[in-house]
Formats: sequence, C-alpha cells, structure tokens
Amino acid sequence: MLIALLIGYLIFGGSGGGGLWLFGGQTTHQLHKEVAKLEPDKEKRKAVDDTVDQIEQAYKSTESERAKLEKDALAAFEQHDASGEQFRPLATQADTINANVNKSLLDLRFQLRSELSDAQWRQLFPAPASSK
Amino acid sequence: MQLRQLRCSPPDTDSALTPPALPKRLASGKVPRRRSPTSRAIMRLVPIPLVAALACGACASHVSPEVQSKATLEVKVEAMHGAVAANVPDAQRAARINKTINQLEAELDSFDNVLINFQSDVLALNSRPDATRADFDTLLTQYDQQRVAARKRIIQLHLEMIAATTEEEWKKLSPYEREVLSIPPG
Repeated sequence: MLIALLIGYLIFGGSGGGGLWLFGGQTTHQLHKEVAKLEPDKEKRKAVDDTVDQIEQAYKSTESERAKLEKDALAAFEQHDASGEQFRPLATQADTINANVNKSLLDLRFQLRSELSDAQWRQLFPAPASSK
Repeated sequence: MQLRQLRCSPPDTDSALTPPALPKRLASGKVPRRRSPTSRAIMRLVPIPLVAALACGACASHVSPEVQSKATLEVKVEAMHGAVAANVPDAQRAARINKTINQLEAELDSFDNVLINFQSDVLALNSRPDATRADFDTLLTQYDQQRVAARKRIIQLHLEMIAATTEEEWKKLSPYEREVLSIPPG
C-alpha cells in the first residue's frame, strides 16, 4: 500500500494516496467484514466476496507501477537540472495509470452494486452525515 | 531555534544539510511570509509547541485530519524558509525563493481542499444506490481537471525555485521541498 501523501494524490488523483476512494475509503478487508455482517451465509455472499477480491486485485495490479512513478517524480524534484520536459512523461504515465485504475474500480463498483439490494447498499455505504 | 523544535522530523538528509542556526530575523519572529487569517488566529491562540504537537500528530485523536494537515504544511514550509535563510546568501534570490515557497504552500493548501471536497462528493454519490456511471464520470472529470491544473502550477513553482538557486543551494533546499510535498492530505 502506498503511503497516503499529497504528492501521490496530486500525481495520481483519487487512487494516488492508497485509499480505495470509491468504496468509502474502506479497505477490502473491511469490506469483506461488512459484507459478512449483511449476509452471514458464506455461500450466499460468495459472488459479492469475489467482487471484493477483484477490487483488491485491480487496485494492487498497479501498486508497484505507481510506487515507482511516485519515487521517480520525487527524484525529478531533487534534480537541479530537471526541466519541465522531464516531468511531462511522468505526468502522462501517471494519468494513464490513474484513468485505467479508475475505470476498473468503477466497473467493479457497478458490479458490486448489481449484487446487492438497495437496502444492503445503503448499509454498506451509508450516506455521509452532511448529505443525509 | 524555534524552527528546529517545530519540525516533526528532520528531512531525509545528513546533518551537513540541516540549517545550522536560525537567522536573527526568523528568531525574532519576522518570518518572511504572510500567514492565512486562520493560521494567524491559531498562532495567536495557541503556543508554538502546541502547534508543533498538533502537526506531529501527538494530539491526532482530538484534531481533524484537515487541521492536522494544514498545521503540518505550515511547519514544513516554515522549515523550508529557515533553510533558505541559512543556505541562500543572496538576499534578492532568497526573497524570490521565499515568495515562491509561499505560493507553493497556497497551492498545496488549495489542492488539499479540492481533494477533501472530491472525497466528500464521492462518498455522498457512492452512497446513492441510484447513482449512474455518468454521475461518477462527471465528478471524476471535474476533479481531474482541477488536479492536473494544480500539478502544472506546482511544477512551475518548483521550476521557479530551481531557476533561483545554484546547484549547491538546491541540494540543501531539496530535502525541505520533498518534506513539503510529502505531507499526508487532510
């Protein structure tokens, strides 16, 4: 898991800091626990558990790539002879990774949504106090 | 001395890169930057060691991440100003760098707010069972535009600092910039 730093969010957007922003900032471990509360029967919640596992895989599949890019970006900031041109490919690469992760996570968000009832969804992802 | 006490942890560098002593104008409280009204209010109301404690997370359970993040940013910006005073002997260039550092602080603070709003909007949208893909796409596109614009401005400010320093000076300032860029978001 990347350390949640502002520079990470700045480079990578929502997924930059290591949080699964689309799932209320919950880790997949927390999601599994919450899903188990909604449906104690392991067999019945298998599809949902599988989707949560896919969420973890989708996120982790680019983790090392993102960590390397974040390191490269910080290294570029250290160089006195770095020009604006040197930041451009890093930014482009980061935006591509960001767009791909966002798309995968959104796909999985809607997959998860289709596997739960409205009531279960509200229980799993309660509205923040200000928007109720 | 104050700045050294304020810093949560020294930048990842050897002691040779650490500012040796605080310049008189800093020690006397004449910090070369304009604080935000919130910051000024906080500084007036609470003693500096308390601000440092907040920034270092000692009271993390009583302080919102947003306040903590802002306090951490201030402490690290303060340390970078100290590093400029200690390592850039040319007054004109030092003033130029300090001005850029203040702009960098404002940009990071502003981006932190963008991020907080985005996360709050995502939480609210995600909680709606009827939220559509288009709703998410709109929110993401809007946030990404703000993020990319902020990134561009921050890189530009970084390049301005590079242009105002010698290679040797930048070697000494760079760990402080890294600290400023590496704060946890609010």
